[in-house]
Amino acid sequence: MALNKNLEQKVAEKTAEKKATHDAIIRLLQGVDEGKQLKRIIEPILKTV
Amino acid sequence: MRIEALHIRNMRQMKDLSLRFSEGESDNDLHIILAENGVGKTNIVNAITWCLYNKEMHLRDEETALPLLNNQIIEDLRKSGGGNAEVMAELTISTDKSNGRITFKRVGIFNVTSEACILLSDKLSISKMGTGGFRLIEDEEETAQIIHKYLPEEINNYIFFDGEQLEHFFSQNQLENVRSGINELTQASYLKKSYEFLDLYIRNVLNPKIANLGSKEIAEQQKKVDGLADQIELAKNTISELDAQIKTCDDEISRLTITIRGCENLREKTEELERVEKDLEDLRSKEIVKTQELIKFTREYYSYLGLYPSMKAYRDFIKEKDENGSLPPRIDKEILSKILSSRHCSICDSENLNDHSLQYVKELEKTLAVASATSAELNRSLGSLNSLVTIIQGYKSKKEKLVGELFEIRNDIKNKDERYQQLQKYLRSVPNNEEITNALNQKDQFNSEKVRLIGKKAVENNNKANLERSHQEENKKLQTLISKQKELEEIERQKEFCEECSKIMKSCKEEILDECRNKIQDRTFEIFDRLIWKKEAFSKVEILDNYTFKLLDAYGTQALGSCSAAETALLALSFTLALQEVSKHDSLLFIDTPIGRIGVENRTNFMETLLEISKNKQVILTFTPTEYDSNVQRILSKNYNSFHSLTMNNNITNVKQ
Repeated sequence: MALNKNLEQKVAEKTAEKKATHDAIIRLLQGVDEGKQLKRIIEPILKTV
Repeated sequence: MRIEALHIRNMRQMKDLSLRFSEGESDNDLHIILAENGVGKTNIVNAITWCLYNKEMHLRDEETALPLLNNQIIEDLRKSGGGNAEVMAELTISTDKSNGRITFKRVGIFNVTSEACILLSDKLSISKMGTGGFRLIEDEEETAQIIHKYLPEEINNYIFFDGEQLEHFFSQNQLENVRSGINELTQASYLKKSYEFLDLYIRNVLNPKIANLGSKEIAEQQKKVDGLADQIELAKNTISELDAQIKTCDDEISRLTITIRGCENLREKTEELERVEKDLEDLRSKEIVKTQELIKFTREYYSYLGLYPSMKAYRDFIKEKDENGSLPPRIDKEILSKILSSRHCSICDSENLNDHSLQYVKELEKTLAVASATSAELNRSLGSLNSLVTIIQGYKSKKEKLVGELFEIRNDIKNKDERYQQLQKYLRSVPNNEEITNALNQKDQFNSEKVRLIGKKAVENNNKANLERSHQEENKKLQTLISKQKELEEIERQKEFCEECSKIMKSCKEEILDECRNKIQDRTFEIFDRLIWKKEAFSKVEILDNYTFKLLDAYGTQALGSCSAAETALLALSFTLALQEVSKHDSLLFIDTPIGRIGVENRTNFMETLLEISKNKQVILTFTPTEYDSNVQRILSKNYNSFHSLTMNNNITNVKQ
């Protein structure tokens, strides 16, 4: 199941000009949606910030 | 998300019922199930909720309901003495446009005896078919997660809408479900899970790391390294100064070397001259002493030498007489006196000399008294003469010795004098003798200074090497600390990033929920206003922060409790539609008997409105043939994708072909 459009739009509004933050939040939300371990998602992201 | 198919076996009146809900080309993904009351419309929804949640959510009364297992099968088993039979419900959904399929299959095993029908076990399995291939999931936790993701139990009322059971739809308990439902439908729960995870990650992972990476040591270590660097610089300066001084020495030495070129031995020769002068003085003194010694010697021997011929002749004479026996006997008068007194002859060793012998000795003593004195005197002279002759005989050797020594001294004087003359000649030949001597002395001084400076430089170099080693070690420690500091900065950056993400997600969640609540309340009233026939009776729907639901009448008073069953049904459906629409949740809508409580005159309006607001969403509607009248048919016939008419034969529901 894809992310809710409202949710995606709200995140996009709040993270305008903050691509890294936007991408990180979206990946976390997708991780929740797919039932993945969020630690495995956030740690590689944090290495690049 | 949409339902693709439903297969029910041995459940209540459905022995083997298969329904497919294929997607068509119409804007409305509409599907109709038509059946008389009691044929099994609501049990289709029950089969779905049993399959998903192991609960029949739409039973009128659970306690008095029939067993889940089909009655005919129970009877057949009882007739045959009992046994086991299974009930199965299989729901297939598509999750997205890429043909992802999930099939939920629940099987319950019942044991039938003459007295009872008991559920022995039931099991849910999920098969997923997608781009990753086929996967069968039987783990209880994982199956629960998948159901929660696609069709969460909390919001099942807003997916599987039962138009006939709305008594508690707006109760406080139910509104908790609304709150939870909005959270799930809007995926605000995803935001909550994400920021809660980030907050925990900051607290449990990043904060402890930050606490472990203190930065106080760096300043101290930097100070230590800087101190060592300063000392190294000082050592370098000192070495440079020493090098400059050594160079000065070298320059001076070079300059002086030029000055003294060819006269390098001047000082040695000057010193030698001084030594030779002194030696000459010493030798001349020695010569004088030795000459004096020789004169004295000569004087001493002068008288001896004059007497030597007569003394020699006299001695030779006595010697000759003595050798010839011409000298009177030499009897010692004392020996004779001793013989007489002791009567013992010490000459022949005779004891007890008799008187005759003694008399003879006495006479001999008298007779030889003169002769013996002469002889003794001659012998004494001989001794003196021998001594004198011996002395005189030593004259030659002594004289030769003295003369030799004097000669040697004079020879030394001669040699030294020659050397003195040579040196004098050399020194007289050197121009600026004094200047060169000074230059030589200065060169020596500079050489000594250079040696001292080189020694000092070696010490300083050693000191510098030690300092550099220490500096290297301490710098390494500093780099380790700095890398820790960098790590700290990196972790702090990560923390800031997590905090920012968390803050944004919290804010997103609050805004989404608030906006959603406000939109739902507005949209609910808009839809309700379109569906309701009493246009002026109600003015507004309000959903408060705590999700208390209000339907305000024309005077702004809560009117929810006084709504008719039909009005409540419309309001509930309006709310469900608004919730689905506003939340933009990708889910279907299954409405069991949507117009059961709506008067005939309003059904057309209701169906038109429903069709309009449920575009691009799968909608499954159930009707009785009475409800599905010509007006409803007229509206729906052009819009549905599937139509299932159910009939019942021998208490078994079938799809009418």
